[in-house]
Amino acid sequence: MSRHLSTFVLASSCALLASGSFAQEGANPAGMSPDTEGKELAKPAPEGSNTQDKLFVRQAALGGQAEVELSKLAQKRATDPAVREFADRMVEVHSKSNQQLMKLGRGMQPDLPKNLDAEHQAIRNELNKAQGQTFDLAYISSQIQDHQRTANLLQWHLSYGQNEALRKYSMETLPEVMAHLEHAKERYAMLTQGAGSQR
Amino acid sequence: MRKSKILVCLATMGVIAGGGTLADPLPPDATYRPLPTLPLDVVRRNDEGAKPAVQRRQQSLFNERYDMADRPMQGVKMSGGRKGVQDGVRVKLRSGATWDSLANMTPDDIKAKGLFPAGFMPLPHVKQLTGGQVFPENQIKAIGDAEDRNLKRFDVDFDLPDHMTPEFPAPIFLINRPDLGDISGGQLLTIRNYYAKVVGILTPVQIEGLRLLLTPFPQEEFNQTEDRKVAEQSDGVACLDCHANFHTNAAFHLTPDVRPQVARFRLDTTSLRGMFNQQIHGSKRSLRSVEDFTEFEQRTAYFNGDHVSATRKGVHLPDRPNQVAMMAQMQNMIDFPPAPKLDPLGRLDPSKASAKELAGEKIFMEKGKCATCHIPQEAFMDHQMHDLKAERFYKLGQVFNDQVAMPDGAIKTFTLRGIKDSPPYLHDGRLMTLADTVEYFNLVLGLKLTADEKDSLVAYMLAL
Repeated sequence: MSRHLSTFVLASSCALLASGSFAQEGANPAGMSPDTEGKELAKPAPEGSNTQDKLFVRQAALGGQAEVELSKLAQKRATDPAVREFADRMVEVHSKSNQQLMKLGRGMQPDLPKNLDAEHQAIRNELNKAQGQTFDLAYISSQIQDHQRTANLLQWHLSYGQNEALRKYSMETLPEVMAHLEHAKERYAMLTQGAGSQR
Repeated sequence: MRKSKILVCLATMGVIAGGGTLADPLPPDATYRPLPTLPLDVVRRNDEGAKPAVQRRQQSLFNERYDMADRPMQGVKMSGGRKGVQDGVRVKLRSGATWDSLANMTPDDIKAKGLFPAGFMPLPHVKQLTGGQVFPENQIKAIGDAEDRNLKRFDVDFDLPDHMTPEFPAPIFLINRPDLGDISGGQLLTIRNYYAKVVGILTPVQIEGLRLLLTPFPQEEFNQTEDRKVAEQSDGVACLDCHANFHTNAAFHLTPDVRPQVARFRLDTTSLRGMFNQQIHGSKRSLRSVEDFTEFEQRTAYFNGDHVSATRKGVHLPDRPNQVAMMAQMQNMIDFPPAPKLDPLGRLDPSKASAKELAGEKIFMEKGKCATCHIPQEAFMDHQMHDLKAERFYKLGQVFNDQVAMPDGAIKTFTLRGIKDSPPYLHDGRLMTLADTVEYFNLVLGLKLTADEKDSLVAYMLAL
């Protein structure tokens, strides 16, 4: 029995080694909730989920939905071809990513928003009023902020999230979000003749 | 006209940007240390259960990135004369790359093809999501024997092999008594043995400073609360538990200056040698005096820059005019190890140096651009922070052992005096040997050094 068990443990460790993800070994159990799902108290099961996972799905869904909606607006209204191209990419990538998130988060019953949150509603109102280059700059500026926030959110989830599949999602999404942030900063610098926070 | 249009645009955006207050911020545990939710025995059981896998995955990361073999140079020892200096380039190349082929590629190209050696990327903590101070076995044993104080964590072990770390215990040289040479007697300074070693050598103020630097105080992982990583309630740690004998024992930690947890970079303990010449302190914070650093370290190295956690676990706030001043003055007495081939201005004495060392100095001053920041007459520092922008070469946001590869940003220039004594190198200890540092800077600064020039630079650094 114990030999079978250790063979199993070894096999699963190897699988984890390959995936580079170690939710259960890597986490600090001191901060875990007493109701953390798992066979043993506070030894989280890879398929289990914690409060941070649920909150992450909600917050990431909020941001993802807003990125797609505002980018759809930009597909129609942006003047600069590079900005429109950026918007195309955002709609494509984030629509796919949002679907994936919803699939992974389905069992966790996150408190999902029906509409845009108040902040993004306000941004949409501003964008609706803006024209020409003002629109382009306002859109790119909102994308920089959203991607900054999403990057931090993904990193926070990787710091505390439990669910293996969701952690994998965060791990795969983060480099993409970082690349989008770089692109958004490049577009901003281009629109402002070099201003902004491009490194 | 065009400028004013942009100003209008920016002002409009300001209105939109102001919307941030409506959004939900990240949860507090993105910045603050969460309070523990489980009893210590449960935490300990789980930590101990996870430990073998935690250690294994870190070892596999080391083996993927580096050649960790024990291969010391012939005829070269650290300043105490007891430990060898590891030889050769240890960072592994990605398949299909050579050092020369990399040197001829652009950063964008290296990034696109994923050819930046993984050993040049940030090095994760052995257990990144928990972080905290991790001491080498030699320090744990010496303090256990001398003080019956336990520095061993139940969740992690030290992750580097002994041959990749500094000589232990390191020799101690004093600027107020250069006539004496090493005053350590080959022993580790502890709260139990310091007095007899220094009375008659140090002043009363310096001795009191030393006592405080050797006195344990509560720390994030070593304290009396249930939120600790040591089996028994602990008195804590002392400054010189990491800066052993005022040098470094390669104990490591995570930077207190970055959040969230996965983005924090590893910190390899800095030597305190030559403190008298250092104008800025802390790899990120650039504190302007060693007094400031000494005073505030009780909330940073000890408590991860979280004053809330510090207050709960029992922070020691040394009295500025008395205790801080004495601790700082003690640190300022610590000299670099002797460098008999250097003249008073920090240049090689041609009558003592070899041809290879002299060739290395020439590269250091000219083609290698090393002296731009490591200025010989300023103890091989420039009292500045610089951003090497190594992330030009790799994709941001990749995760290795729960650490996210992010840009390092500006880091202070560290001295190169006595540099052979303090492996591993760079602020996080990602480089194992001096030859690795030469390859790193050759690539990051685009120097295109030849093999001979690289060898000469290593020979020169051994003489510093």
